[in-house]
Amino acid sequence: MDEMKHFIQFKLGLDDFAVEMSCVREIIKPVSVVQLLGAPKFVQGIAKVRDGVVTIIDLRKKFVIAPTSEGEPRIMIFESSKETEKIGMWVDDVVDIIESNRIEQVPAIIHRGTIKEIIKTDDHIIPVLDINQLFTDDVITWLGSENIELTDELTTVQDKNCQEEML
Amino acid sequence: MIQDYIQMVDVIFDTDSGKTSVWLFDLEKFIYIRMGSVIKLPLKVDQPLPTTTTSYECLQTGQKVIRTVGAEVLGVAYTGVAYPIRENGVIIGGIASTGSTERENALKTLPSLSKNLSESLQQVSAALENIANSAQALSDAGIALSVQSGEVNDKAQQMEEVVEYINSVASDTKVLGLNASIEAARAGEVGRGFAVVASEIRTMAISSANSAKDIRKIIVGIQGLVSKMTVELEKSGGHTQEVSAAIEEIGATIESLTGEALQLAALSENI
Repeated sequence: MDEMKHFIQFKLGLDDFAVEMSCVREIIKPVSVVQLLGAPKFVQGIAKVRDGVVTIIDLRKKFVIAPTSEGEPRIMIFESSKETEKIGMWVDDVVDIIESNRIEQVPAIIHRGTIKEIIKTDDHIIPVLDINQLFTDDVITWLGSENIELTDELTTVQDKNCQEEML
Repeated sequence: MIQDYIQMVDVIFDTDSGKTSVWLFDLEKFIYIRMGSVIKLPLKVDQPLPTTTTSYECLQTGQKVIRTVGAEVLGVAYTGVAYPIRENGVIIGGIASTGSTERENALKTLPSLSKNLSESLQQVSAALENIANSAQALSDAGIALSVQSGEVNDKAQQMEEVVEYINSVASDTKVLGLNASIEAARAGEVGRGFAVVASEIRTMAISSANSAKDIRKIIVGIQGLVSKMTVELEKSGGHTQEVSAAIEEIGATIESLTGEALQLAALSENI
């Protein structure tokens, strides 16, 4: 039997995700966010939490997850070695703390390794986000790029049409 | 000559618009008959006077004869009157008439009837006033109920605010419990006991939030019922108004009927 690990289960839209509890510094209620000019869409902005400044990111914007009014929105602030690099993630609801040793590994190619492992519960499975990986430079660059958004595909098709008309 | 009196028969007959039967007779037989529309006797001109008639009797007695005959004989009660006619002190015949006594009776009962009618109408009037008062009370009660159901709605609203507050406390508590769990985990082995407490706090917060949700459902139910009640009250208010209008109409009719009954009473006294 593997060792019991603690996770925090949360929701983005209606989908369940989890992170290892040891990654989380604290959970706060939504605070007012100052927008950052020139930042990628998934960066909501920065917010003052206690005496520090936290960068708030919204993964829903990146993965085209429809926001929901169900649940109580929270910001999950992650542990960071550097005080200035604190990151908070907007979630639509914090479900609960789960304790599990039924862990399944996932192929590394998925989401550039942003999913670390999968928790199996009695009736469904919950992907565990790899926070350390999620905020490495190359993943942040990938998150900031526009290539996987559906709107971009539409634009591409339209562009093609335009070109055909011009020809 | 008895024939000289024929005209008198016509005069009497016409005076009563042909209702009364009038006839003339000599010492032996009927001479002239005007049969009225109400009392029809089987008499014929030249018929010998039957001994049972008032005509025969008055000739025998030389006096006027008045006889009342009950309804059992002809289906109508009537009074027969016969007078002997004298010429130079000698009886030469007579004149007789029959008139229905129904009218007489009717005239006797008419005043009391019209009085009864008046009294009954007054009673109806009084009863109607009671109904009108009740309808008014009903309408007032309906208005009061409407106001009260509005108050119930306000109370439900207030309750919802309280529940909203409880919910926000529960939500804060849940965050607190989560953070307490995180801190307890960070403390490692020494935080194990505290982790249990934190977990209990989370459980409690969740059950408070669920209870608040249940209460909110109940409040929504109450508000739904109150709004249904308001609709029913409006309907019943409409009906009460219709009843009031109907009562007013009946009241007006009764009033004119009362006036007519009074006129009837006055008329019956003069007949």
